[in-house]
Amino acid sequence: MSENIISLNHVSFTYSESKVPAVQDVSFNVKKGEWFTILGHNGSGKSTITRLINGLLWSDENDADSIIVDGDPLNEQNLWKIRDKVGIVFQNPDNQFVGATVADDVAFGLENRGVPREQMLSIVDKAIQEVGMSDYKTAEPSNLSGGQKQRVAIAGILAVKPKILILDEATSMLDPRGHDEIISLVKKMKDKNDLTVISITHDINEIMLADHVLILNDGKAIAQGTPKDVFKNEKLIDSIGLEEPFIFKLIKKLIKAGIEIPENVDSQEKLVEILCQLNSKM
Amino acid sequence: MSKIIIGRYIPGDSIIYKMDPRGKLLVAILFIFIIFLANNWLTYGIIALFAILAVAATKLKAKIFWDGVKPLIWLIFFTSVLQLFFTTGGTIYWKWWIFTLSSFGIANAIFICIRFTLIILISTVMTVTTMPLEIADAMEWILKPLKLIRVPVDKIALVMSIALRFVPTLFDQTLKIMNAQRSRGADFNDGGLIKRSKAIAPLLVPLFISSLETAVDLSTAMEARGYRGSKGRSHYRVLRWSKVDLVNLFYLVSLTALLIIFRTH
Repeated sequence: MSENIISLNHVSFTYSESKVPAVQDVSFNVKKGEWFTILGHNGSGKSTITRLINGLLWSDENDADSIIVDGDPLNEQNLWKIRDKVGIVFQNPDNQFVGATVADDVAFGLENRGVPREQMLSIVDKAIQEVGMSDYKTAEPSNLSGGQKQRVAIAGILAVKPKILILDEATSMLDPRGHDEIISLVKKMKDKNDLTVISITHDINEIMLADHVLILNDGKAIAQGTPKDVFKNEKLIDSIGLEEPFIFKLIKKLIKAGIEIPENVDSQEKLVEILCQLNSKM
Repeated sequence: MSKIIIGRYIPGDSIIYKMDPRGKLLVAILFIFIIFLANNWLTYGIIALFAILAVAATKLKAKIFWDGVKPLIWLIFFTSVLQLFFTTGGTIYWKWWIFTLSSFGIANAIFICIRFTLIILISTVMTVTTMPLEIADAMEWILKPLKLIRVPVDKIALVMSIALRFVPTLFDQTLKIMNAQRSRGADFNDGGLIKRSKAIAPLLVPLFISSLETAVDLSTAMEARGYRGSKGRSHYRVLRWSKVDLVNLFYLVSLTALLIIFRTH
């Protein structure tokens, strides 16, 4: 595939109030246009990593090349350049809504960048329309559902045209419908705007969208690879208290029951296809 | 708590809604000064007429304005009574110890009562027809000259708009915490003063903590979205003067003129 858009080289981070590092010697590369998922249980350092990527937190080493985003090493000079390229949707939809109305909130990022008002008007309208919130343009946050607020947050990020979209457990406080809506919206936006998506999640089924998975445990990267590769190692997954996605569990049960499932099956569509073929052979 | 009308916006569609919030805010403030120009029956009549005109122009139900006056009725009553019994002069009808009932006293009591009511009415007209956000914008505009003495007006404006944006959120949170504590046996409405103020603790402590957490989250989100102070920021929301605001200006000018003409020296 193409070049790395983000690379972390042996990054560690310790919060000032604790002795144990929250992130310890983590290295990974995210390729351009990839859907990259970081997985791990509570307190494994997932959110800390997102904050390291756009300089909300500074790594312990603070080396020139420990964090590189789109060719630029993260340092004081590049900080704002990198923040322009990285958009983050945070976990709590209530606590990231700055504006008093939907349009104001979407415009917030543009205001910070000093975009003239005449240009803002059309950009904001377009961004709101893209996330399907046109009817709510002047609505106040207290009148919106959690899913709608997250959509507004995505619109606010798309308005400034970043290259990388980070979802920091963006769906964990939403109901199942809100969750599905946001995920399908992000998928659509990823294809349309050629985004790289880093999603941080507890949701084991969400990782089926990922091209690449990184599993964190107590601040250490313990496994990475395609979802299928990662979940092959049953013992490892068990030991850190994660659960396998339903599809892999089902495949294993089927194999146990004596049904032959080919190696390369890693999605629901493929499994359905294989099962239908088997059915017609019987 | 929903009974309090001050600071509540009621959507509508009359001429007052179309006015620029800056003009409305200025007129509401100036009205309070102008009202002191009135000093006889005629001028009080004029100013009352103008206030009633403003109320009528909102095309809202009279009950809304009554709700605005109601919480302050005891204050009005109290002040009027004080005026009534402690003013001397004119014909004295009745006197006992330090209390006197005089013709001046009666007139003053009525004037005070009218003055209070009119100020409340005009502020209610202003808050009921203007969104809190617009009021914040208007305040920013009025504060702008303070930039000369290095008052960070942009930051104050951002603080105001964030505060306003979180009022409903905090209100919802308060209700949720109250209900959660009630489900564990807390009682917010019973007992004496001490017992009641003690019951507030399980409400206030979580509310404080959650507000601080919200503030941290919000500031992180703002920074991640490129906020780096008010320098170089542009503005999405702008206020524009329109022809309707001339009505507002005319209202104020003619009221002042009438009051000055008919006032006695």
